[in-house]
Amino acid sequence: VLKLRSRLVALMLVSLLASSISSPALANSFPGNSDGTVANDSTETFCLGWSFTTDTSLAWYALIVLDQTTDMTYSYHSTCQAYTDAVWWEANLDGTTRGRRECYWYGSGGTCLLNDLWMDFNQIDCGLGSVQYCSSSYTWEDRAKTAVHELGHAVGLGHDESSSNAMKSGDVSSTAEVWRRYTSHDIGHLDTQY
Amino acid sequence: MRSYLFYASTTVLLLVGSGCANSGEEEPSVTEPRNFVALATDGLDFDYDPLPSAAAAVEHADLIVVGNIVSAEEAKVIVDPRSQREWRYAILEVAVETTLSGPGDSKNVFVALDVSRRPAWGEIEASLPDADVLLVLHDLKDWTQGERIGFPPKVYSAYHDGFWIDAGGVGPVGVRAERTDLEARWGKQFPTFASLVREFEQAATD
Repeated sequence: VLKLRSRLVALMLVSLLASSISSPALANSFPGNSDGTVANDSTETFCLGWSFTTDTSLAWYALIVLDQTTDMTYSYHSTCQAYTDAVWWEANLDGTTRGRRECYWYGSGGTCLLNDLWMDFNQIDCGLGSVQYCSSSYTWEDRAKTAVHELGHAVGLGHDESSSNAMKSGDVSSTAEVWRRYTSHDIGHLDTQY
Repeated sequence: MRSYLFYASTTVLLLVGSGCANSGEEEPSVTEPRNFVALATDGLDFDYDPLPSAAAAVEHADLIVVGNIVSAEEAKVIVDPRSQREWRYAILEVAVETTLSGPGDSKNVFVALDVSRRPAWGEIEASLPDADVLLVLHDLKDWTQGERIGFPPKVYSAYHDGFWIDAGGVGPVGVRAERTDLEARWGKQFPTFASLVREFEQAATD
């Protein structure tokens, strides 16, 4: 009986921990972005490309979120330079793309020295393309979420579809701040890295 | 008891190690589709509006087909000459086997896939999957951004969660989306490529 009980205890312990460990929230890797790159240091420099005019405060907002919730900080470049970490752009992206991050310039040691961060405000505001959705009451929150999302990719984060957080794909379903924040797990990755 | 606890703790340690691993550690064996996916997306990350269901895909998409990629040509969009920004595209020619939704008169369609600037074009071309693909497509006729070079007159783009490759026993592999995320969103399992195709067939006939 004792043997059986101890077997059951061991199996329960394993299955319990295995199920929690295999949940997506805990299983994301770092760097989780598509090229497995990170920033070259803990200060994220940024500038505004000339096309980024609809709401420039969104870039600031994303950088402030990064600064206030992680060990990283930021610095603004009034003129974009070759080594500015993040350059913000606005464009009509194809299909259902809300935001796009591309590493424009790679550095040594798995770093990306310059990220282009593109936002498509029309797609963000209108969702899957029906005009009826364009008057969403969460417009600012939706835009801010995508700004935080793309910056997250630039510093090494991948998607996290498991909970309401900034790295989840798609529009926000409420004004809750959690949609514009990284998960504590992702923050742990960033604080370890930077 | 001690031995069971030893096995349990060892298993737990192994699971912890694999559950939050750094990239590059103990990668699963790479199948051909995954090689294409890795090359096509390397250096590109997106936020996108996911499709909530197959029915929504039928409602919103201009065309949904199953076919084979027969060729690829490099193309680009000069987004903005002032900033010298360009987006690189692969124009995939797809031989249509079955039209699941939309006009059924297309034998071959062209699909513009936004691809990374990093890999050599020859690498991307060489990695084209020799397998069935399921494509949920959006007609780019109204897309106005920059100057397109190398785009055919009639061209589509795939929804981010609407480009799936038949990877045999691995099931459908998404170019821009994970199957597990689609399954969680749609509340259904798609262990095989055929099961995913059936989902769209059913939605198109409902």
